[in-house]
Amino acid sequence: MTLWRRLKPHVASWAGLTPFLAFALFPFYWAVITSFKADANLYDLRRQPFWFSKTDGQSGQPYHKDIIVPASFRDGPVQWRIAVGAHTTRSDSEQSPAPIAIIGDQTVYSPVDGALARIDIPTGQVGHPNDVIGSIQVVPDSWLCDSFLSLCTTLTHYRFLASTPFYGWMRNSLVAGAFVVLITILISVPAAYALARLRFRGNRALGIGIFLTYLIPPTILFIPFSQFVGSLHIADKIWSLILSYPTFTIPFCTWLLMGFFRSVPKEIEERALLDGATRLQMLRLVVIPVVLPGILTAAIFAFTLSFQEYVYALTFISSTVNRTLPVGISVEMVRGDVYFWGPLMASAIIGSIPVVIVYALSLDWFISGMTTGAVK
Amino acid sequence: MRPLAATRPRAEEPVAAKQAGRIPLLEREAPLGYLLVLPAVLYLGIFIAYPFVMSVGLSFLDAQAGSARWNFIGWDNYSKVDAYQIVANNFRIATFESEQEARALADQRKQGIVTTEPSGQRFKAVVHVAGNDVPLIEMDSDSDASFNASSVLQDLDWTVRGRGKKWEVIANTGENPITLGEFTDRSKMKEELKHDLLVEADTKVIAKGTGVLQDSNFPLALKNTFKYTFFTEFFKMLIGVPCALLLNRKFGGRRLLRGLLVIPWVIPIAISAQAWLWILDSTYSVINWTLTHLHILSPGHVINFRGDADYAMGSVIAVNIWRGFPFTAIIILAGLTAIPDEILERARLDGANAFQRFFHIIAPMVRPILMVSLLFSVIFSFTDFNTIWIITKGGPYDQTQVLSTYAYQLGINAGYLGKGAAISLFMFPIMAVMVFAMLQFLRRENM
Repeated sequence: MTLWRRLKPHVASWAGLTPFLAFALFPFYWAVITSFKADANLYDLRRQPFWFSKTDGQSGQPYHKDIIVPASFRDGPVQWRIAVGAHTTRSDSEQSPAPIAIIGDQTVYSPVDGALARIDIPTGQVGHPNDVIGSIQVVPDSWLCDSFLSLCTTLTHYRFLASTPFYGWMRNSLVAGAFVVLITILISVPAAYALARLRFRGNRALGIGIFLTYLIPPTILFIPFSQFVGSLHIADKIWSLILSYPTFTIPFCTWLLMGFFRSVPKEIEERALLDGATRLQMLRLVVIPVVLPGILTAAIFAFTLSFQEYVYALTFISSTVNRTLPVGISVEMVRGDVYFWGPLMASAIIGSIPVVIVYALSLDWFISGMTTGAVK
Repeated sequence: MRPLAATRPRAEEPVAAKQAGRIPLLEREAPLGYLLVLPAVLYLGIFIAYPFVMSVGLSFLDAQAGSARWNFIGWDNYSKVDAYQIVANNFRIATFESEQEARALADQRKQGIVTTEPSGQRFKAVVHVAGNDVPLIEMDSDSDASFNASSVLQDLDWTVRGRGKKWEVIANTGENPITLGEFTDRSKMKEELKHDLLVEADTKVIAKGTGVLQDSNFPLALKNTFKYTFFTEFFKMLIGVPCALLLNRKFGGRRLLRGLLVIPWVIPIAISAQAWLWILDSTYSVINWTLTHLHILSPGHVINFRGDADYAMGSVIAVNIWRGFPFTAIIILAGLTAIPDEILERARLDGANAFQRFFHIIAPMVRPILMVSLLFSVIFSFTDFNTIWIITKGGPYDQTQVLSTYAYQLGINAGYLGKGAAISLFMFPIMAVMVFAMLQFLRRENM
């Protein structure tokens, strides 16, 4: 009884927040489950989609796909070059899929990824070209089947990413992010210190001016900026992003850091000056170590903001290999009207990892930065 | 005036300063301050102010990607009218004393015929239906008059409407009004129109031209931008406030829960929107699956979230709310934690109920911080590109186009740099007004 009384407020709070949490996290759950589903399961509308399923919703059989081999396929004796159980990859998302079989001179591709389960072709039979001479049964890849809670899960979508420039996009995003953080910190830290602590004419106006530039969003500037980038001969190069991203990270981080510099007690500066340090020495040896958490927060934000950026990356970068992660995923993982949902979700999951790591390591700083950034 | 740094009491002056007889430049606050701010000012000057000026410049040029020479064309990108069109709708064909007569006329219009007769220099078209001769229109050319009158007779929907004691037969065109003529001089049009139409009708003047203001997609994009911003912000508040109030209670795992809730805001929207694309897929949407299995929808009539104009706007707004509400909640939470517990405790002891405490204590104290975050949030929603571009690309048929996506479509995809820049710049004064209004509000609130 007393235990329940003690637990009640906790349970009530969790219960009240569950709908919000469900709304916030459902898309991630959905992406995760999609990225591990074999295509046959993924596109089976008869099975409930919230969990994995091993059998076909219509026939109740394990998922498989029959490839019907018409008689016209055969010109001579039917020959197989792939053994039963061999692993095959599907043809729709692979750039150069391996044929699962060669009949006569013609190659047969599997529409699903998986393993050959059964070959059922009577040999030596001659029929009308429209007749069916056999069928090839392909079951979805069961690489993880029976090994993980006996679910029918697959890693094909993740393996597929290796055949795309996905990891190149990841590298581009990380490299751009690292340079942007460097430029931002080098420029924002001194500016924020000067605006927060030094008295000079126009100090306040400059502070507000820098703040207002943060309110000019990329969507107003991307058209002239694309011309500007072209005239600097850095269009379609990662340098165009490294130079353009600080336009929004510098104002934001300067504003953020001003708050941190203001919270440093004036006395420690004065004491350092009394001890004979020059102002720059004082800044380097006394003030900066004190605001290091603030600088880290600013770096985290600079990285996150540049990792999230989309408009500039979409406009300035035109070749596939030079794209950043968000643009690469959204532009290159779709061919015409065909969305490769499995690989798309797999790339979304892997693509989120860098920000999630940064975020998990700095949760409290991050949230305090969110509020001070908006409030100061 | 002596530099401020020198007024500070010191145990010993720096050696260098003593020798030079003055304080070195970098030891004085003002020069050091300017020096430290200079890189930021230069950077933002080059990479924000310059493109901004360039944007204004481009909007006055007939700039096109790939064309060698760009000419100054003044305001033509913003507004250039080639001709004015008069369009008419709801022609009042005839008025009767009884409903029966009116209905008879409307029912028999299929058997009606059109004749034209000269009227001075011009031609008059008369519609003959069920024994009534209705002079409809007068035009310069015989064929134009006959064509327009025939459209009114054959293509339009004739309805009967009671008005006072009388009954009117009205020919309605639905969504595509009939164009009566084109004029280059707006002032002559009214006069012209009086001669043209021999029956009453609703007329409207449409400016046709190549400027952005004459582009029918532009008002649509403008309207969508406001719609998108308003509904996003409204629902973010509606969800964010209760969420923050719940998070402000003390319970185990609060930190973890807060961390999980902010995830939508942390993950790049271009990446998380891919999950939404899949959730909103036309065939495999999990929402459709659920609604079908709850027998709310029949399998043949599932919702096409992105392809159906009625749902597309709602879909992009929903995704933006999903992404933004954690931010709103965290900001409100920061405001809530700043309220001292004693105040709420005192109010509770004084007999204030939860609603009274919310509206009289919590809301006024959170308001300043909320307004600042709202300022940011409104600006970012107003200029948002990513969500809409990834979810619908402005489609179907430009129905979810907002200013930023339309600027991209026209400026980058179609290569009309000048027009694209003009559309982008339309956002600027609207934003400036919003920022100004918010700053005025904050000043009044004494922040």
